[in-house]
Amino acid sequence: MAGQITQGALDAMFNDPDRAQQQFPVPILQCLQIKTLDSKNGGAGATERFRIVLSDLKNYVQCMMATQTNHLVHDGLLQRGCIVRLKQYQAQCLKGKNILIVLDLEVIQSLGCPEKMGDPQPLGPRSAEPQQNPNLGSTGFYGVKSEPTQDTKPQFPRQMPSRNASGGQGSSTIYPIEGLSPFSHKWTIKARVTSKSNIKTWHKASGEGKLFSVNFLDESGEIRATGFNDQVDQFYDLLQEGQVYYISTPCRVQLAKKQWSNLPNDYELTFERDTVIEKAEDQTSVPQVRFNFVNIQELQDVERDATVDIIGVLKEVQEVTQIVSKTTQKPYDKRELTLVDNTGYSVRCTIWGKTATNFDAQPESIVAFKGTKVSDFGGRSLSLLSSGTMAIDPDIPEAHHLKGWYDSSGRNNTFATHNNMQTLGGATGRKDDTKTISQVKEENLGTNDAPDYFALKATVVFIKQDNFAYPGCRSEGCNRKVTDMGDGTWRCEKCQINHDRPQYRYIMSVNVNDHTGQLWLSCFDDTARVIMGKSADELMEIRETDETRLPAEFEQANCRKLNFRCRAKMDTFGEQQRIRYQVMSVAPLDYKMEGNKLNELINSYNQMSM
Amino acid sequence: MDNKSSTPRITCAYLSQYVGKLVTVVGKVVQLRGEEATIDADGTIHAFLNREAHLSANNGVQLIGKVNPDLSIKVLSSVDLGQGVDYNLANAVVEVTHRYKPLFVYEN
Repeated sequence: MAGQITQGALDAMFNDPDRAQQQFPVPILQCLQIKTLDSKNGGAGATERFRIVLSDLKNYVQCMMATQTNHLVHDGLLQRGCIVRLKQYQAQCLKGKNILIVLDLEVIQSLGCPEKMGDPQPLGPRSAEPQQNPNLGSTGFYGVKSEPTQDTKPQFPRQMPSRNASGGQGSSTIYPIEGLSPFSHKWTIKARVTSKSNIKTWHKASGEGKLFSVNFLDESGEIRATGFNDQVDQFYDLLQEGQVYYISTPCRVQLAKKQWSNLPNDYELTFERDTVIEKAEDQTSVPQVRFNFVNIQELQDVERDATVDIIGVLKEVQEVTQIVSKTTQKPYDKRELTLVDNTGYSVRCTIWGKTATNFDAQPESIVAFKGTKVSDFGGRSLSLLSSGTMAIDPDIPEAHHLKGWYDSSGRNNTFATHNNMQTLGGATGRKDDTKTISQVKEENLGTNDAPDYFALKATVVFIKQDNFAYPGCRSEGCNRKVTDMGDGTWRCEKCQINHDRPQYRYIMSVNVNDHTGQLWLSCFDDTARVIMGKSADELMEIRETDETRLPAEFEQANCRKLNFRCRAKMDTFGEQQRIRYQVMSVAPLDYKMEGNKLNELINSYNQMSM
Repeated sequence: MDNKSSTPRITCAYLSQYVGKLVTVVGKVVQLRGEEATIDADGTIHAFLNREAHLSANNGVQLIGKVNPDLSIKVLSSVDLGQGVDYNLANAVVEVTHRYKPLFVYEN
């Protein structure tokens, strides 16, 4: 196993990055220690940061984990001793010590967590070791207190909350956006404006004002910035979408108000009077857009109301329609698109306003969305936020990948939807909670004024055999009970027609059980038909012709486990009030989906007990 | 006869723990060679089939059998599961089985 570790990688990463790129493009290291950093100056929303020690058997070095890798520790994947693959990092020298910033890390789980291997020595700062490397100059790292010496590549020194030092940074050095925090006193970022909002004004009792906001992007991440009142005048015209600027302190860094932003950053910027914003001559060194895609299959794990980016092949485009908002009476243009991707799933995405009316992408083109809200309508569906953007056939690797997949196999695929996530296709949008029978009784479902709807997974245990159907009117849409006139005809009072035969409709009481209790449900014609497997007419005929077969029919329908969607309502029978449970629809179990649901439930038990 | 026994569900990784015991395996048929089959259950398993086994390549199969010392399986019963088997779900069941062992396995 020691053979797997890329020995000497650390030395190269710090002292000869070019060689590190060539020889150790993905260093494999052992994690010797993990420590949580308490940010004492953090205040309310201190970000949790982890400090780890990584060794390549020859040396070890302290590392800071970027917050996007925190989940590895939270999930218990990253532990002392385990072997990791370092996918993205920044090697720096701060205050004479070598620090590694881990931007992306993968734990090689199959190697387990062995004891500390080798006898790694601390990777001392460059000055302590004799350099044989001629590439010294371009790869040198400069300490924090330094020399404003410029080098050809921009620096990414990062202030860490626990080492909240002198704070002095040469203003010529550029911070990564990911490194911005309230603890950084002086910084400059070089970023592109990915979106700029309109000027919004408000009038309140406390005063009135105006604001605008922009989203900034660089290689490390994104952050939202807002300018109020005077800063609107100062900066609104200066900042153009798509252009790259240098933004320097003074500029306030605060905890982000997530409800106004679709960006994942914990912080956001507020422009101040002395904030410096300069247009950058070099417009190309900053990425254009940064996507954090979720594939369509993963959407089912995303909570509703979350914001995600998504990319897919455009399968269907609907026409633009207009709907009027019930609350504001304003008309909105909307258009629905269907996206598919190589996970075999499809999802509907709605776009609004100008984006909808001006939409002209052809089916089969690749469309990427940034900033869509996830809803659980129809299982899972997406809606492009007003702050979101759309890119058609973007020139990014994911788009090419999808195009390749679609051309080769995707075109002919049938795609699964998340529609079966709501237990029984509730297009009405009512949230059907799956309940156990004991929950139905304990929660007194049905005792409120409005009927309660719930979903139930239970087994039919007994079907009442007397009075399972009534003679109904044959007329279309009329289900009234018809009366036997005695002369062979059946009269419907509502339609005033005499039928020669009634159409029997089920009115069946079934007793269902699950592991928590039993419940009597009443089924009407359509649902009972699913349970019995026959129409009421057929069953009545069997009763007429050969009564002995009847019990067999009920026997066959018995003991089936089904998904019921039910309504609980209070009914008054004379003086008595009783809760009646009616079955709205019934469906057989999709074993795979139910199995996966149970698996998740079991996993959640595990997490709770930990 | 109070014959308490269990046939816990396992995948390839657990074979060594159950040598000499009866186990259940759900996997995909990779190769069929006469009375021998190669099954993929989160890893490769060799299975020695019996007369009644009618398996098809690429289909899912549920095998019940005894684990030999060389970690192959002597199959006593087999069920062809066809296509469309969710192997992730089947493996998840194995994980849960071993997480809550007392529920599923008789130790004697």
